[in-house]
Amino acid sequence: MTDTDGRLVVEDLVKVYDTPAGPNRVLDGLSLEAEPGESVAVLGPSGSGKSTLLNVIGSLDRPTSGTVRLGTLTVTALEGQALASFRAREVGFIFQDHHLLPQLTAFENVLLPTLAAGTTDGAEERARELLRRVGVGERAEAFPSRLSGGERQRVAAARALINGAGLLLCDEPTGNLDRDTGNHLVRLLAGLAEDGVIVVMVTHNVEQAGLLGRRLLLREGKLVDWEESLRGDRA
Amino acid sequence: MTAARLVLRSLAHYWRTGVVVVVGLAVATAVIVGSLVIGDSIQGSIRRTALGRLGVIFDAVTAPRFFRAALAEEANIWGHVEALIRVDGSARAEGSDAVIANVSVVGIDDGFWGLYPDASSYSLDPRSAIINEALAEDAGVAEGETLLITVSRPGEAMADTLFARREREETLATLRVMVEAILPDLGPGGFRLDPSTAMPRNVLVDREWLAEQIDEPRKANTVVLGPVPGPDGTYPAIGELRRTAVFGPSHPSRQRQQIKQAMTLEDHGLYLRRHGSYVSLFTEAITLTEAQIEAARQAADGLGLEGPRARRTSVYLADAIEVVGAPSRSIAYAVVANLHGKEGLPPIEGRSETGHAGVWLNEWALQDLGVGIGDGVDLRVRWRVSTPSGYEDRSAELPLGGVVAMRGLGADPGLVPDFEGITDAEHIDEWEPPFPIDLSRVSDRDEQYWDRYRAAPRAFVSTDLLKRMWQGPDGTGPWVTSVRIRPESDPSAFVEDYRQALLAELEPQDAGIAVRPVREQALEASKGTSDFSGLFLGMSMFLVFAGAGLGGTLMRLSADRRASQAGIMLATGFTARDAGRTVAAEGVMLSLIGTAIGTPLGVLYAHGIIRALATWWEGALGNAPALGLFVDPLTVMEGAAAALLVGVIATLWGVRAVSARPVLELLRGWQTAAVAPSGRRSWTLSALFLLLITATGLLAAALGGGLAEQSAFFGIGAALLLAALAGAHVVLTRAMRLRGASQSTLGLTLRSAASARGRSLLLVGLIAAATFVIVTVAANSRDFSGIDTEDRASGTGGFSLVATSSVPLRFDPATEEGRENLGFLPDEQEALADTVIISLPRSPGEDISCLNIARPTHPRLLGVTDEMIRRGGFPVTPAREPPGGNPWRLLSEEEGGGSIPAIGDAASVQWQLHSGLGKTYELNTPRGTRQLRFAGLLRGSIFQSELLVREDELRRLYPDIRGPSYFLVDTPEGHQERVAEALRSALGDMGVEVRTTREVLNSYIQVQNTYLTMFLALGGLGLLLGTIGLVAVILRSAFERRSEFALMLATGFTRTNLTWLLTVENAGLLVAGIAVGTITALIAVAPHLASAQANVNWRALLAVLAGILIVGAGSCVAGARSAVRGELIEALRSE
Repeated sequence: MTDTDGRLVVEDLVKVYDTPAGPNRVLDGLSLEAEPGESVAVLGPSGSGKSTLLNVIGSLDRPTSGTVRLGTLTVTALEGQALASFRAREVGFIFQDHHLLPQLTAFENVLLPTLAAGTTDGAEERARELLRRVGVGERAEAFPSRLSGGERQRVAAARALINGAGLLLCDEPTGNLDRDTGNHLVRLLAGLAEDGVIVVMVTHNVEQAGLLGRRLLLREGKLVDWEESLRGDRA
Repeated sequence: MTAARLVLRSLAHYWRTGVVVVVGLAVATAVIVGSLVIGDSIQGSIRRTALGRLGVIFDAVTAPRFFRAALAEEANIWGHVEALIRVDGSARAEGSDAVIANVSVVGIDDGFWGLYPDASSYSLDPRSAIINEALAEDAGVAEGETLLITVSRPGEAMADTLFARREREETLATLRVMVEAILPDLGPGGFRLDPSTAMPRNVLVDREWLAEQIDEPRKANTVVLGPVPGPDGTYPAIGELRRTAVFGPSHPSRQRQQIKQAMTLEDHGLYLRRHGSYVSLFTEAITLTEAQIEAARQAADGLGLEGPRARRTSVYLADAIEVVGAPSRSIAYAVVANLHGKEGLPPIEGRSETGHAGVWLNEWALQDLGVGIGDGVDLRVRWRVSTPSGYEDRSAELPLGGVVAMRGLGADPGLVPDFEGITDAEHIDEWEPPFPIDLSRVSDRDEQYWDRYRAAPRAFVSTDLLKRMWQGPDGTGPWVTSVRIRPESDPSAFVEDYRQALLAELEPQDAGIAVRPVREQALEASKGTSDFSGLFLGMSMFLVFAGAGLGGTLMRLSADRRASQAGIMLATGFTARDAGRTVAAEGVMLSLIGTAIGTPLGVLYAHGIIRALATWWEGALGNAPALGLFVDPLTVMEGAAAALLVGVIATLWGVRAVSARPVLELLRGWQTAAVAPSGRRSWTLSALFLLLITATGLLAAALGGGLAEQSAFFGIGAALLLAALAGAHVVLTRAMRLRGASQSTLGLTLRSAASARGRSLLLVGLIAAATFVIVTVAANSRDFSGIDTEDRASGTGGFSLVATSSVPLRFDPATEEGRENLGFLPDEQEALADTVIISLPRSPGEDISCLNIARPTHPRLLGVTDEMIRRGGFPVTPAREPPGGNPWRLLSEEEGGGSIPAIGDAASVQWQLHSGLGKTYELNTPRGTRQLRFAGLLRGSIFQSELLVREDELRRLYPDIRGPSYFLVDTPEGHQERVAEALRSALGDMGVEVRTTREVLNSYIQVQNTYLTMFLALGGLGLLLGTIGLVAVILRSAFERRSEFALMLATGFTRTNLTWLLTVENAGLLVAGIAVGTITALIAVAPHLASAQANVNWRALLAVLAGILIVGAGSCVAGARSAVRGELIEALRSE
C-alpha cells in the first residue's frame, strides 16, 4: 500500500441532482474521516444519498463540490487513466447485486481486476488466498450461477481486494441475503478492516451496522453519529 | 486472466446470441461474396464463350469487299494466317418452309481447324458443310441431311447506284449442302469475330467452293491470325495466350503495314487503264471514294504531275438526249461526261462555238439531233432521288453550248469505266445492263457509233449537273468515276511507276480493310455492359441489410443486457475504451466466424443464382452465353473482406453504447428505462399534417396536368408512407396516456408497444419501407401486348411490324415496282396494297440493347430516311427545341465539332454506351472513328438495339452498304397477320424475319421483367429474413420483461394469455408494417397499374407478402411461447 496508507478524508461534499421538481441537494456539505483499519457503517433511509456518497468516494460519480482524498491522492480530481488506475488499485466495490460475470468462474471473476490493472504477476495465488480468506476457497471453479447469494458476495469481496485496495466500499451488500448470511458477510468485512483496509458500508440494517467499528447516519445530506442521533431523537 | 480468455469465455457463455449473430453475418457475407462471384461468373462466361469462338485467333483483317485470298500469304505476317469468306445469309432444311435468318456462312480451308487446337479437324468437300448446334436446332437438321443456304453475291457496283446488279438471281446464290457434322456452339462451331453474346448460327463450307458460288473466285473478305504451334506441335493453354508472348513486338499497326505492302490495286478494287496519252484510275465500284481520289492526286504529285495533269472525270448514262420540242429527234442510251474543266476537249476546226454554258455535244450527236448552238437539249436520266424507289426519270433542259470534234476526248471510250454487261458487249443489242432498257429505241446510227466509238461520251455537262445525277438533291455521296492522269513521258512506262506510287498512297482502310485485335476486343467486351456484381448486390441488398442488421441488432441487444457487466469492469479499473474493446472483440470474433462460414456459402449462393439465371430467370441476360461458375480467389477474398467490414461495423454499432454510457447507468442496466410520454407529439402531428397536405398537393398537381402522373403518384405514395409512420408515432405516444389500458387485450398490447415506442416504430417502419420498395418495384412489370400500334407517339411509332433481312435487299419492298422485282406474287402484292413500308439501311455492328450483355465495341446503326423524318413519331426527348416540333429533324441539323447527330434509346445509350442526351459517343467504323452526338433519346421504343443517324450519314460512314435491311411496316388495321405472312412468303429465303412491334418491345421488356421477378424473389427473401430477425430481436427483448410476465402470472394471467398478448403486440406491428407498405406502394404505382402495359404478377407478389406474414406471425408465436416459458417467478425474485 502506498497512498492508501493514509486516511480517507471527505470534506464538505455537496451533490445536487436536477429534478423536474427542482434541485435535490442529496449531499450537503458532508464530511468524513476514516483511518486505515477502520470500518464504518452508514445508515439512512431510502433516498437519503447513501449510495451516492459511496459512488462519489469511489470515483464512480462526481460531486457538485467538495473533495475526497485517500492518503495523498485527491480522488475527486482524477481523470482518465489515473481514474481507472485508482479504481483498479486503490478501491474495491461490493454491490447489493454481486455483478459477477456469469461467463467466468469465481476464481476468474476475482482475477478480472488484475487484467485491468496489469497486476497479473502472482495474481492467481493472491486470488486463491483471498477466496480462502472469504471462505469460498473450495468453490473457486464454480460459475456464479452455481453459487449461493452469500457465496457470490464473498467472491465479490475477494474481487474487490485482489489488487490490494486500501478502501473497500460496500453498497448494501447484504440486501439480497438472509439475516445469518448477511451477518456472516459483515463480520467478514469487519475482519478485512482489521487487516488495515478502510471499509465503508452503507446499509439499512442497524444490526449489521453494529458489527462494524463505527455507525453513522446520513441525514439531510450530512453524516451524524448514530448513537448521538438516537439520543437527539429521544431528546 | 487474459483479455483473450475473457473474450472467449464471453463468446462461449453467450453462444446462443452468438450463433444468431453469426447466422446473420454469414447471410450477409454469402450475399456479398456471392454477388461478386456472380459478376465474375457472368464476365467469365462471356469471356469463355468469346475466346472459345476465337480459338487461338488474335487478330482479324476484315473488309466490306473481297480481296485476293493470296493477300493473306503475301503479307508475310508471322503466325498462322487463314483467309476466310464470311457472308450473311439464311438457311432452311430441305423440305421445310421454316427459313432461319441471320445465318453466317463461313468459307474455310483445312488450315482453319489448326486455330482450334482442342477441336477435331475436318476436310470439307464442295457441297458439304459443318454447322453448329444452334443452327441445327433452329433448322431441325441432322448430320447427313440437306440444308439450303441463301447468300448474297457481293457484286462490285454500289448497291444504290444505277449500275448495281439487282435481280434476284444476280444478287443471291442458293447453295445446297449436305450437313457433314454438327459442332458444339463453343469452339469452331461458334466461330464469330465480333464479341456479341448472341449465339451465331454458323455454316462452315469449303472456301474456294463458296468463292465460286458467289462469283468471287480465289478471293476472301477476312483473314484471321493466330500463333503457330510450338516445336512439339502444341499451343499454350488458350487462357494463357498473351499477345507479346505470341507475336513478340508485333502489333496490329505493324500487321496493317505488312498488309498495305502486299496489297495490289485489285485488292483495293481499283484498276489503271492507259488510253491514248493518258492513264485513268477506275474502280470496280464504279465511283471512287474521296480517299481514293486524294491518293490518286498525291501519287501524281509525287511523280511531279501536279494540278491539271490529274483530273477527276465522271460519266453517267442518259436514258435519252432529245431536242426540246422534238422528241423524235433523240439519241438512246448515250454516255454523258464531265471532265472537270473543258481543257482537252477538241473544238471543231474553223468554228468557235466552244466556251458557252449548257451541254456540249460531239459532232456525231450534233448530227443525230440536228441542233444548233443555243438550241434546247433535253437530257433524260434516271435521277437519284429520295423516294423509296431511289430513282426516277427526270429531264434536264439545257441549251447547246458547244460542239466537240470526233477526236481525242471528243470521242474517247477510255473515259468510261468497265460496266459489266455494257462496255464488254459487241453490240448494243447484246447489252445486259442492271436496269431496264428498251432496245427498240436503239437506232442503226447508235449501233454504228458503238461499233466505232464504243461507250465514248456523246455529251459533256457541268460538274454540278453530273454530280447531281449521281448524288440526287442531298448532294452527298461519291460521283467521280475516274481520275485521269496525263503523264509527261510515255504512258506505257508511266503506268507501272504510277501503280507503285499509288499503292504507297493508298491505305488499307481506304478499301475498308481493318485489322481488328479481336481477342483484345473480346476480352474488353467480356467485362460486360453492366457491373453485374453491383447489380446483383443491389438486388440482394435486403438480404445484406437483413443479415448484417440482425447481427448488429443482436449485438446491441446483447450489449444492453450486459451493461452491468461493462459497469463492473469500469468499476474495477477498466477504462471505458478497454471495456468497449472487450465487447467489440467479441463482435469482431463473431464477424470473423460469420465471414468464414458465409464465404463458402457465397460461392453456393452464386452457384444457385447462376443456375437460376440459366433456367427460371434466363430472360434477365438476353442473349447470354451458357453460364458457368467462375470463382476467382481474389474476388472471394475481396468479398469476404468487404463482408467482414460490414460485420465489424454492424457489431461495433451494436456495442458502441458500452463505452458511451456513464458507469452508474451501466451498473444499473439502462435497458430498463421505459419510454416515457414525451412532448414530441406536436411535431409528429405537424409532420403528419404536412405530409398529408403534400400528398393532396401532388394529387392536385397530377390531376391538373402540372406534374407527370407517375411521378406525382410515387410522391403521394411515399408521402403517405411517411404520414402513416408519423401517425403510428402519434398513436403510440397517446397510448401511454390511454385510460384503462389494463382492461383489454388491445389496451395492454398498445401500451406495451408504446412503452418501447422506438423499437415498435423501427419494426413498423423497416417492414413498411421494405414492403413499399418491393411492391413498387414488382408492380412495374410490363407487357406491351396491348399497346396501341396505331399511336405514332408510342414506342411502336405507329408501326405494327418490323422486318429485318439477313442480306440487304436490292429492291425496295416499299414500292410496288420494288416488290415486283423482289418476286412478290399477285396475292402477296395485294396483301400489301395499303401498307406503308419505310426501308432503312442498317450497318453491321453489335446489338446495343439489354439483350447483349457484352460491352458493344461497334454499335449497329440505322439510316433514317427523309420519309421517316417527315413522318416523325416515337417518344423522342430532344436535346434542344426541334425545328417544327419534330425531334427527328434534329438529325438534319449541324452539330458542333463535326459530330454526327444521332438518336438512341435512353437506356441503351446510358447503360451500354455510357453517354447521354446532348453528349457524344466515339463510333468506330472500318474507316476510322467518328463522333456521334445524341440529339434525342427514345424511351421504350422498338429502337433499343441500334442507334439512328441520317441515311446519308450512315452511307458516308459505311459506303459499302448495299441497300436496306430494316423495314418498318404500317399495316391497315386488322391486316397485320396477312401482311406479315406475305412478307415472310415473298422474302423468307432472303432471310427476312418479320415480327410484330409488340413482340419486339416485349423481347426488351422481358429483361426488365425478369430482373423485377428476381428482385421480388431476392428482396422478398431479404424481407422475410429481416422480419424473422426483427421479430426475433423484439422477442429476445421480451426476456427482459420476464419479471413483468411473472407479475402478471401472479395476478392470475395464464401463460396462454401472455403468449397471446405478446403475439398480438408483435404480429400487429408486423401486419401494420406490411399493410402500410403495401397500400402506399399501390397508391404510388396506381397510374402504371391503370395503364394497358401493367403486367403485375399478383400471384407471386401476394405469395411473397403472405409468406412474410405467415413466417413472421409464426415467429411471433414461437418467440412468445419461448419468452413466457420457464420459471418466471425467479425473475420476479431478482426484481
